Amino acid sequence: MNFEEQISSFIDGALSTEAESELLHILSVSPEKIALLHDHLRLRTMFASDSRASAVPSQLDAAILGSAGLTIAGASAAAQTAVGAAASGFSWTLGRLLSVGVIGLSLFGAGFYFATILPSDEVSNKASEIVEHSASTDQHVDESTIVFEGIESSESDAHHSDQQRLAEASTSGGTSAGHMAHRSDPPGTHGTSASRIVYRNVYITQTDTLFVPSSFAFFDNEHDSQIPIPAAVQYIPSAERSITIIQAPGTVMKTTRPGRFDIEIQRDHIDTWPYIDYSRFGVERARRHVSLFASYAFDSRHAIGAMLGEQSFAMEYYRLENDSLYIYQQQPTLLYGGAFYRLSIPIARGMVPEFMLQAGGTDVGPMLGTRLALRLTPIDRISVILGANGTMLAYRYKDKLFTSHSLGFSYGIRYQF
Amino acid sequence: MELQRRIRDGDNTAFATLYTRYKQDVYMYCTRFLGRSGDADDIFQDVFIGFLERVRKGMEIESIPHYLMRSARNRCLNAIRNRKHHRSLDEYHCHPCHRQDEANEIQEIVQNALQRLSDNIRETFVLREYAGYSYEEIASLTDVSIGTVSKRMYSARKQLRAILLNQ
Repeated sequence: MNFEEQISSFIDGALSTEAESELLHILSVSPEKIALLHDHLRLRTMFASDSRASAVPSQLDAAILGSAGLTIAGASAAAQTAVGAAASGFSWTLGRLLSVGVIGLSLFGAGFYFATILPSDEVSNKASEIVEHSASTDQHVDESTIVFEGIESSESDAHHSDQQRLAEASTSGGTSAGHMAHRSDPPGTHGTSASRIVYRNVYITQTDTLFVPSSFAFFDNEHDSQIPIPAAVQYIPSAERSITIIQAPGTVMKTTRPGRFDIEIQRDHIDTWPYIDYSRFGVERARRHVSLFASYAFDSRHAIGAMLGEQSFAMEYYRLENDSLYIYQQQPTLLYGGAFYRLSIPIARGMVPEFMLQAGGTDVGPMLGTRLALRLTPIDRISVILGANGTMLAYRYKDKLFTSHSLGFSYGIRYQF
Repeated sequence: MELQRRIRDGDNTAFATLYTRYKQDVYMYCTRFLGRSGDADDIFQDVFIGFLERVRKGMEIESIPHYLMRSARNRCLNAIRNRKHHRSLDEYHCHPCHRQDEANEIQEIVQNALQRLSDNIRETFVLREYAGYSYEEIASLTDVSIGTVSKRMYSARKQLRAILLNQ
């Protein structure tokens, strides 16, 4: 076997390991031999380019498929199925996982958003916890829950309060009145406390009657004065006793406008990239599709939602097998689903520019898209959307990643609930 | 087998799938082995239509690509035999027409160079470089040894190098 024959076998991968090592050694020390190898590699490049440039003419496709009772469009659909199946390993795993991830992140973002814009709800919940606790239990109130800061009301106020409570109790009757009467006649002296419970930024003020037994060490009968009672005083609250919750001054109750749901049906007119041999497939490069969008608007600017529709992509990909290059082309229509974020910028009544960022998945891989649109609202709740769309699809074939793009304009109609 | 069953059951899209899968290899083989003549296109059609008819008649084909390529090979060899006996002036007259239509100069040069190889060597080279067949597959298809395939590949490359790079 002469050296050129060895090169030929080497190029075809038909050389043994030992022979290959020997060949490489010769190449490393002989510029002439390297030039010979380069000649053969140049030849391969020429044949590869010849192979790439030669496709089956469309008239032959039509003749053969016609004999089977098919049109080229039908054949193209079948080819789509075949290639789709080839790439399905990518579709059912990564593509859908990405979609689920995007939707999950969107929901997490929504939750975080709610958590930050609704402090008043949080406060109300905390306050109601205290109310519930105080009103429902007949046990001693835990020191750590309610803190008396001091007794501030006068004797007369206390007496008046006591009388008022007795009057209220007697008019309401029942066990409450009996209970109050029993408690209003202790052996000792009674006083009134205005206690204030501080819980974060909410002030719960309650007026309560505090009965101090005569044996209470800190009460001074001679001077008839009010003595601050330490915080650890225990008392038995009545289950029927009302508690007044007053919002502290300066704390703004933040209310938010409830979000609005909307649905949109959109018609796309798109062109696809890369260019493929459309005449061979008998299909048009320009495609028209319909998509559905459903979203929730947090306010006048931000909205998230889900989308479902069809999208066309031109696919051109290749594989290397046995040192030959195979090119495949197709333009399938893919079903896609995903999530989107929409930013609206109100600039005038009835006219709002919008920017939409889309992320989703198709049968063959994940896709990302954007839309710049103008929303016109001639009638309340009903809007017309005019936009420009751009979408990119990533798909994998034989462990190689390819991308395809579509660009076009769209129009749709949206209804806000 | 599944595709053949579907074709037999009248599912034409199954044939379209199969055709899409194998047409490029068969087409490259026919056109590069026979050159750019009407023969290649006719044979290409006959191969697939013949396959379709056989499957519809209930014939089980074990290896579709092997069957298609062998069918193409037999028809190409017949065409070459007939061409040698009935070489007409039309072929020579048509050739410049094709040349005028040829957009890619490299394709034209490569085509001409291939046609200067002997039939056996050209066939082996086309199966290897255009259809991506391995030495073993070529040997099986052309009923020669692997050593012969290797020799033919070497011979083809040597001649093509001389034709294409030294012209």
